[in-house]
Amino acid sequence: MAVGMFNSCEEKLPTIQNPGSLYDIDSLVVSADSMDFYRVVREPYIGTSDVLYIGNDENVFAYTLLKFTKINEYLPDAVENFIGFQLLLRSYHQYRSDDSDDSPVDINILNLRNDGLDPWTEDSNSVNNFHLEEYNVDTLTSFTYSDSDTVFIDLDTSLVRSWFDGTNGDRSLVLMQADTSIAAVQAFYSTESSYYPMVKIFYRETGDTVTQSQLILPTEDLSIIRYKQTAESDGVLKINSGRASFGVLTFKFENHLQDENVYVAEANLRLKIDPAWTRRYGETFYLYANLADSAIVGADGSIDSEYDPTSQSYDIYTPVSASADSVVINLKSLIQGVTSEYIQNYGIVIYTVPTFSNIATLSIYDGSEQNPAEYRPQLRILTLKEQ
Amino acid sequence: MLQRLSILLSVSITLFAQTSNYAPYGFGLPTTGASARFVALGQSGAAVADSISLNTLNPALWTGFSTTSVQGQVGSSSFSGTDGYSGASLPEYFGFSMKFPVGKYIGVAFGIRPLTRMRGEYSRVDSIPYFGNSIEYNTDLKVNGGISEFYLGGGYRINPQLSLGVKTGFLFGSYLTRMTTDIGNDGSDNSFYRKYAVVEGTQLQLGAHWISSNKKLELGCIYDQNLKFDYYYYHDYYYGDDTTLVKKGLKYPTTIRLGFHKSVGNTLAVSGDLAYTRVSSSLFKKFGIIHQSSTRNPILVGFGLEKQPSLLSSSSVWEKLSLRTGAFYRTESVYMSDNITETGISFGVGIPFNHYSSRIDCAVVASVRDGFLVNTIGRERLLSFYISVTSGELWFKRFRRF
Repeated sequence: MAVGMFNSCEEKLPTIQNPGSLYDIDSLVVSADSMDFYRVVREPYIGTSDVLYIGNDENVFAYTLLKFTKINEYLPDAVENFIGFQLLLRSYHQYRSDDSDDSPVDINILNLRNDGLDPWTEDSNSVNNFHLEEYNVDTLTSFTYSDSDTVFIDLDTSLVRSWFDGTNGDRSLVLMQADTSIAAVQAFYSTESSYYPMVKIFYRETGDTVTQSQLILPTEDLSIIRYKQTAESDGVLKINSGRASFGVLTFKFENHLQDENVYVAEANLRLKIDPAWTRRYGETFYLYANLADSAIVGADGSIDSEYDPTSQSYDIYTPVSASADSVVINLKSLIQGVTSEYIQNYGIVIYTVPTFSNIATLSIYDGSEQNPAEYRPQLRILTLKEQ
Repeated sequence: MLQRLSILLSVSITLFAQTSNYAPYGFGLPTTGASARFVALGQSGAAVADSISLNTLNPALWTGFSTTSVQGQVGSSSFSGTDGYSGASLPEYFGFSMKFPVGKYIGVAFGIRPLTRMRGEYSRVDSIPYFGNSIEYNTDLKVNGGISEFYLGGGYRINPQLSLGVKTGFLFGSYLTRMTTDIGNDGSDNSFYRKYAVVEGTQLQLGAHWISSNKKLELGCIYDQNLKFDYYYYHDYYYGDDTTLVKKGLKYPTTIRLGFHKSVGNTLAVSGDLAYTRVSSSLFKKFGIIHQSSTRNPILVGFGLEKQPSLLSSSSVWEKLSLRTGAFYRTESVYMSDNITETGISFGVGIPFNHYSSRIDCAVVASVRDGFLVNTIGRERLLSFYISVTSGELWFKRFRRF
């Protein structure tokens, strides 16, 4: 008997038969009628971008500024002759909005002249406050864009001589597309990347017959990107980093979801993409969303136009493929937080970051009545509550 | 004795009770509520006096104790389905009790014992439609709990033939339902839920025992009346505040039990019990942990035969043993399209030690349980083992001076 008793000591629970429904399951659609869209365009600071843009198409006109300072500190005082002077650029990509193959495009290199005064910084200038036409430029040379790795561009050694001996205090170079008849935007890696641009200086010191060289990186680099369609379009929200254009979306659902104990199994915000105003250049668009708070949405519902969503870490990241016709943003944590009353509902901020392509634009239909009903945003919520 | 008590309790805790697929219904499956001696006698014992081990069934028999004793019961039960359905096994602790003689005619006792036990688990993988897609989820559900009783009472022998007893039972217990939800069925729990059902109540039991003048026939009667029984639910959700619902009252079942015990020859005795319980028809519609159900008034019929031990010190070991057998039939109060019934036979042995002041009782029960789940799991074939240990000493016994 004892053996039998201990044999049965292995605990095994009986299976509950036919427990029936375990959850109250509910789904809720928050329509665009319960949403408000706000467009915000702030000063774009894209100096942190990994990529520099030079080009011209129906979407943007872009050129690049490179700044070299204190050349003397990197060279010995006894330099007698400058044997060579090269600009080295690492190609990134050629953007063609019509998806055509790469084309040879000539790019001019200019020396920006401003009497030795420094006219720009990458942290403070953008297309809004830097206008190249206000300055004199000297054309130095041109080169043809190549998608092949590093591009070596020979510059006249008189430029580096003049920087070295101080007769030319203007050490900014401008890279601008020479032939604007070709719709293309060329991109090179910036100093923020691992494949930074640089100049290579070949020189000989006094009394020496050996040629030496020195690589010098730009101290700053910046793309100046002018969007050709800056007027806001009714019914769409444009998101891009080159203009620092982003949106704030608020929605009201609390009246429909009042049980703080429900578990939000899914909550997806579906946004329909407007192809007419979207420029993805065949690439995935990096869309980010942050939970809005009182720093951007005031008590009266006003939006702080100086708010910079990129200054904080993102809450939700949603890659949008080049072929996608809609965006689905997972707002589960937000809806759960609001429902369970540990987050206040200020909506979300939808944006992209300066380190992402600065010329791409994602346009999404807003809740305007002019948009077809199926194009308007929808927030789809699925809740469970254990019984 | 304290050392024996601690050993008894520690052994009891590590051992194991009845389990069944019917356990998640109602209050859970009732436990036998009696020591192994009466389990072996086909669950009969309302009229079976026992001077060594406490008869927890009838307080009128709490007189004439020769020893102060502590006793504990443990058991283990396993079952398998007749249709190849997987079974389960479960150990159970049946509580302990202490009894004290107070003079020649009065005895008092107290103890704690489980009345019902509910255990079960369930797992489901399913999907929920979601705007043209489906959300897969995995649910794990476990339930555990039951009602226990702390009782205190005494018996008084009015005259050599009639004894009366009263026992007050303080009912307490809780049921914990735990549920975890894994959305996406990726192995990580996304939500959990705990529901506590807390019960408390008071039970009054009156007992009577009559013995014939020739000591050959005994009759017992027990009436169990509920004085109060309340319950409330406490919900603990993963999100949001926890919720405690208002306390509500329930009409707990009332039981009347009749029994007899008759000596046959010099060493044999037969016993029999008949119990009838009245259950409110809405009881398990108001109180349902997993399921809500209807009720039926349950009955118990049990008979036992016992070879009583010889008390002579010169007896052989065999003669000192008690050998028991019995059979029973019982129904349960839960009703869902059919009754739950259990029919079984039992065997047991009683082994006295320490000069008849202590005893070990063992019982083996084989039974078949049938009910409304028969089409799903078939009949349950149960095999259960029970051990009661009573350790007694002459603490409060008064001896007459010669």
